[in-house]
Amino acid sequence: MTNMGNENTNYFCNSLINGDNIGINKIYQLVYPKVLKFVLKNSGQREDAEDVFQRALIQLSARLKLKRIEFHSSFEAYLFTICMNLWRRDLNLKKRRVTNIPNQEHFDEQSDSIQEILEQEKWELYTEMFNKLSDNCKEVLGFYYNKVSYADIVEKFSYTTESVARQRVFKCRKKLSELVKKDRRFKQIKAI
Amino acid sequence: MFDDNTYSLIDGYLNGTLSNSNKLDFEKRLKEDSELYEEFIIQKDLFHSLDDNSWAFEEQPNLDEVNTLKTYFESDDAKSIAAAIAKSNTDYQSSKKTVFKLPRFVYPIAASIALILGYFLLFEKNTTTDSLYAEYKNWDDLPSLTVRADDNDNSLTKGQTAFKNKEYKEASAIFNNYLKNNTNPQATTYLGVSYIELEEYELAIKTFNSLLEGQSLDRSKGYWYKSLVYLKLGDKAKALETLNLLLEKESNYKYQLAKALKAKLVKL
Repeated sequence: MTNMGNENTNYFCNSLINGDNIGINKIYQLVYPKVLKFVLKNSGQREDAEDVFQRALIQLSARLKLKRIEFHSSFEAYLFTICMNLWRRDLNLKKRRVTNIPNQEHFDEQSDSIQEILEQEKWELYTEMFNKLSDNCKEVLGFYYNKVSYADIVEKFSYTTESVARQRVFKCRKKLSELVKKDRRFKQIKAI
Repeated sequence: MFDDNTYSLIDGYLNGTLSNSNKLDFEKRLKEDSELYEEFIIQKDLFHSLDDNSWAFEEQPNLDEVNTLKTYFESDDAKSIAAAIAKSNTDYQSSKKTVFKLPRFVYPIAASIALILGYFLLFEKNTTTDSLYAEYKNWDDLPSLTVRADDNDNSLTKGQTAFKNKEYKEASAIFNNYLKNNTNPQATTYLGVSYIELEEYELAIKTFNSLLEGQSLDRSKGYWYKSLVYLKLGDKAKALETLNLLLEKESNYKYQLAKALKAKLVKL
């Protein structure tokens, strides 16, 4: 990361930690238009974008206060990812309610924020561990988790048979699971 | 460690493709084998985390973490940050709403309209003691008169009804009559305001003075209504003098409003 980027990140983080309106206004100018575009493109409304963005900032401020966040990319990219995930979460929550999958009862706003934070942290843990895998594993699992059939995976990677493909997927999943279990964050998030 | 058969079972369970007996069997194993359970949870989470269209909800959060976050969100600090974020949102959204683009040729027309509007707005804004009177008088906040044992012929109720119907002549007659034999600061206030409406300003001031001479808790109302009378009369100096008396004590009636009114009056 460039020095300039670091300075920006520090300034924005401090604005969120201190509730400084000038800094937060700058965050709005810099990132909100992209979030609005994303939400509108993904069957959301203007109000959804506003809601998502505020929740993302609240989440980020809480985490900056209580924990340490490592920014692997720019502040803007990190915030945008949180927004994307919150919107993803909202859309899936609607689906869950419609299909009536037994779900914990709906809590208040505060519990929602807590839930959202833990889920974002979990998502970060899983994706980070995923990125530690070999390029080949990442590619194969990328297809697998996005519901591409084994037949198509065989074709794409020129495996000789489907069972070779299955073995490959199995090995990569096992490796990923081991990485997750080893990470101390896993137990911090989950009560298992 | 688990083999690929275990993974197939987990997948089958998650996809809902297991036969009923296999499903029950697997659920039983999950309950008994904590290691298998952990593996199952991770695989389930990975399914939802790495699928772009899904989301891994958290159903068994670590309660220590939950409590730490809960304590934080209940703190004043968290609340003030949330308020700052909400303010920035309002600022940003309202700044966007007022920005709209007009075709180029419209600008000269828009400018002349703005000029004309500005002219009228300037006149609108011209404050006078009369406009301040209209802004600050509010008879709706007069208290409802409580029926009292000594009010044999219901005159208080009748007076109030007459006042509500804007029959100020009748209202003033009823209250006047009642106050000959009784002391009632609320009725006195009604009488004074009725006099204002009847444009009997001297009588109004006299009535409010009698309120100020009393010892009731409502006494400071006398200052407020008197200052309104002076506003109506266009007597800025007297209005200010009366407001200053009101502002001597913070517990006085309409203290905050009187402060705001004074600030506007001084500028006239």
